[in-house]
Amino acid sequence: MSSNPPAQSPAGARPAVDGPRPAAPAVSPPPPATVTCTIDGKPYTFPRGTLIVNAVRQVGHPIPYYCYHQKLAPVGACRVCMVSVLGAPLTRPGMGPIVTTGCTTPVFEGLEIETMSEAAKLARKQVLQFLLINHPLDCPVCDKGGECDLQDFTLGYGPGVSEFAERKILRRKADDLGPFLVLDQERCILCQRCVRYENEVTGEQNLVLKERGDRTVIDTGRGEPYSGYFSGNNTELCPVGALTSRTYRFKARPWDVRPVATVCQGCAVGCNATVNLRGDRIVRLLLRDNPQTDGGWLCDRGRYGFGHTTAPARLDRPLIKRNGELVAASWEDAVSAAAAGLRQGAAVLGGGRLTDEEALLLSQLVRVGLKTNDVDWRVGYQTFAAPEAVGMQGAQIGDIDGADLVLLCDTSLLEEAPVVEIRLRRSAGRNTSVIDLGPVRNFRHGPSRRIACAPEDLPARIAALTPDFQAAKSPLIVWDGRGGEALAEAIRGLGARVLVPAEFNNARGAEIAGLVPDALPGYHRLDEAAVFSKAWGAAVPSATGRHTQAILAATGGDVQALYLVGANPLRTFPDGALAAAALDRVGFLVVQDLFLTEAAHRADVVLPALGPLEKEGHVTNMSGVRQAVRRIVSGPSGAKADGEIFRLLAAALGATLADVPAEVASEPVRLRLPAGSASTPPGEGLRLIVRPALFAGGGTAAHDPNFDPVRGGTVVRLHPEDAAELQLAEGDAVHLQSGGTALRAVVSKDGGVARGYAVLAAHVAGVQGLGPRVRVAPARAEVTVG
Amino acid sequence: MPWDAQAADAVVAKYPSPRSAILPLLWLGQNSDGHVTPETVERVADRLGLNISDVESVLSFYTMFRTSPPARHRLQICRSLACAMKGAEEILEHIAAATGVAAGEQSADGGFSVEVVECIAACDHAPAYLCDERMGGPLSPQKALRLLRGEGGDEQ
Repeated sequence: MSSNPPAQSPAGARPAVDGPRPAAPAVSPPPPATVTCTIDGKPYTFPRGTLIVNAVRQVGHPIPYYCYHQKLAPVGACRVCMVSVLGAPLTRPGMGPIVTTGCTTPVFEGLEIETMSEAAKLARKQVLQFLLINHPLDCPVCDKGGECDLQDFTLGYGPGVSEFAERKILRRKADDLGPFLVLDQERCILCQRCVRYENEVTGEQNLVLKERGDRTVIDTGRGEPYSGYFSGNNTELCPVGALTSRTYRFKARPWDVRPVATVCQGCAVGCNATVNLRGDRIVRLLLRDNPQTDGGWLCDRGRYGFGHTTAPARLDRPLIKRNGELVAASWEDAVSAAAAGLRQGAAVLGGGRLTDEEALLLSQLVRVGLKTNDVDWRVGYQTFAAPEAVGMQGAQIGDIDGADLVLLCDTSLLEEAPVVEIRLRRSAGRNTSVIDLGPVRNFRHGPSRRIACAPEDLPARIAALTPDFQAAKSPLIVWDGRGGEALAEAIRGLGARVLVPAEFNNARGAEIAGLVPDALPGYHRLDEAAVFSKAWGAAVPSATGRHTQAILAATGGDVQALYLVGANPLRTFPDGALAAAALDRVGFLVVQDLFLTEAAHRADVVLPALGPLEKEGHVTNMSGVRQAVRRIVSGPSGAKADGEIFRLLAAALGATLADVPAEVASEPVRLRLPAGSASTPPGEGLRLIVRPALFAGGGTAAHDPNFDPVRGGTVVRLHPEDAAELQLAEGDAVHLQSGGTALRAVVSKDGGVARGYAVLAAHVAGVQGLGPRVRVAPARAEVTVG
Repeated sequence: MPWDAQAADAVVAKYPSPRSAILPLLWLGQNSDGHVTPETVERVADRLGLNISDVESVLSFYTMFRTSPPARHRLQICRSLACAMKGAEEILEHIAAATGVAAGEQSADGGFSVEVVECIAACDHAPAYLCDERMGGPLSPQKALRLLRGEGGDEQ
């Protein structure tokens, strides 16, 4: 080692240090943390355990590989990362170098690696020739063309001509693999990245190797459709064109597209992604790893949820109701009509989907333009966004990695913050205990403990977990804020950090901007109104406003006008009957949205807004991480950004909106929570509960053509024994009846549902109108005459 | 025959990890039903806490498992390198010419089926074969026809 030339210092590797070795102590010491080896004749030092493939990459030498991937465990399946190695124990003294796979061999002291030896070059060339024996070479029509490792490595390391004259084995092409993926078995080189990804990362296990020898293919077990929430990541793991996105097929080449960094606004995780634009259209989203939020993966809701930007149903001009009909109007007319209608007794609901900046503008508009504190972003089940605002200690998403105990309090990460479930599954596979509490199973990967209980029993069950939490070093609670003060008090009692998935992507941004009736921006008390009055140059009311329930109840009374900002209480508010009555009663209704929602149909004025990928600003994720979002596409020409609409409305109301309020020094206010859910009295039928479902909801997903394949009918989940008692089979059509209301649904048997419950997805039309208990009866076959 | 839950439990108890019991449980199903039925796959997956896909993957790897009702005699001929060089293809051609049954087919009367398989790890007996559950080789065209008639010779 001392005779070596000066060591190179690549990123991540320390240069070798010359010097005498220390004398061997009597007790064998732990092996040194680093090892020094040579790569193509030059010495480098690496952390012990570094794989040859990574060592070679780190020092900047090229090395081809298919099966290896930084996010997966090594497997040594493709055999293309061949290098020559010399050094015991791989080779015996006197023996020459041997060729081995770089992805399964860690570097060790004294190892000599040759990446471009004749033997290594030949081995790679032969492996590449073998990988192409049955490959169709349909690169001209393959989506992967231009970013394909098989193309690139064959050009770099492979033979120019194949020695094989035999007929190629034909396999299934353009195989529909479920909602988002298309599989081409002929292009597959059996690297098994997809199979391993599902085993190691998501646990969804759809894809397996079938058959053997040259007949081996990737397929689902019985050819059934791929089912899962994370299928799209396969298209980026796949090194060839075998697994491709249905939405990207034949849309573009990598050299056609322009990459733009973005933050997904499909939920409140704030996953980072790269948008690919061809011209002015989004053709796909790719991973852009952020360890703080996404952990290197995207869910399908996020990856494919860009279709709303060009959906035909997008609102592209303001509408005013004339003679009971919504008719197109100019912005000038619509804004002045809206301002006139909102001038007296207005309340505002929504704001959880705005940017931080827009939320602040709305907060000002409410106070200085509408002169009220009757404003609330909470138009669904969630009662608060920031744990700190209700006397809890907040957690970061990454805290799941080090937690030894995680309590899922009636909250499904999979449905409400999907990629965080991947993180929890990984932790649970190490040494994190997961307690899954509530009437519906929340964790599909086998929690350490499943405690089924009714919603009203949650506080008592949580209190009973106190010893577990006292024994835990780093416990964490996941709670989506459904319920009320009684549950919050029980959670505070455990003294652990709390992670709060949000019902609307920027719920936290809305809350901190003061879109609540009992706090001003920054959670400042209403008695600081004078300070804000000064900063905003207009009087800010100091009387406590009303929350959503009270606002809805007061419509027709002193709430004479309602302004819904990206909100549709008919789908989201738990008391659907109240929401419907309120919108019927209210004297004047303004709806600002992307689509003509159920609420917009009832509006007097509809203001078309731009969507999340169509405006600039910042959004705050569920952990309080603030990230910039950019305008990537222009959106419908007749729509405007919410912030711009707020300024227009303010001007029409004779107010001016300042940019940002001055800092106010005061103790943040603690938000009031509702008392909590009362127990449902016993009665006929099953107890109805509504839980979030990733693809079922409203918002942009409801109108996104990319989600057509996953948009089935309304599904009601029942315990298999309840279904059996009702003589219902999987897929049976049923009527859910409560009071005078009925909803048609399809039965799904689910052992994760506690007995006695019927579970429906939240944010679906018709669901919120049903009462606390439903009768489930088979739907008669409908006969159509004529 | 119905699924023997007790026998299944006894099999599972022999192995340190449930996954190891996939093959013996599939055998259990095949031995009782004559072939591995979809229900057997579901039961095995359920019993071992595995995904159905996982079990299907293992099932499809082993040519020794049947997924449809078997012929009376099943001759599987290895066509991997050593056996191919020692005349496996010629034997298959001879069988096809003599009986009209090609590789992958079953005789019209259900008497026998002929299949080609990848290496069965008997290259020293090339061309090697499996007749029903008995391995043998080297196989000759004449011996193949005897095996198909059920006159399985015990000679090597």
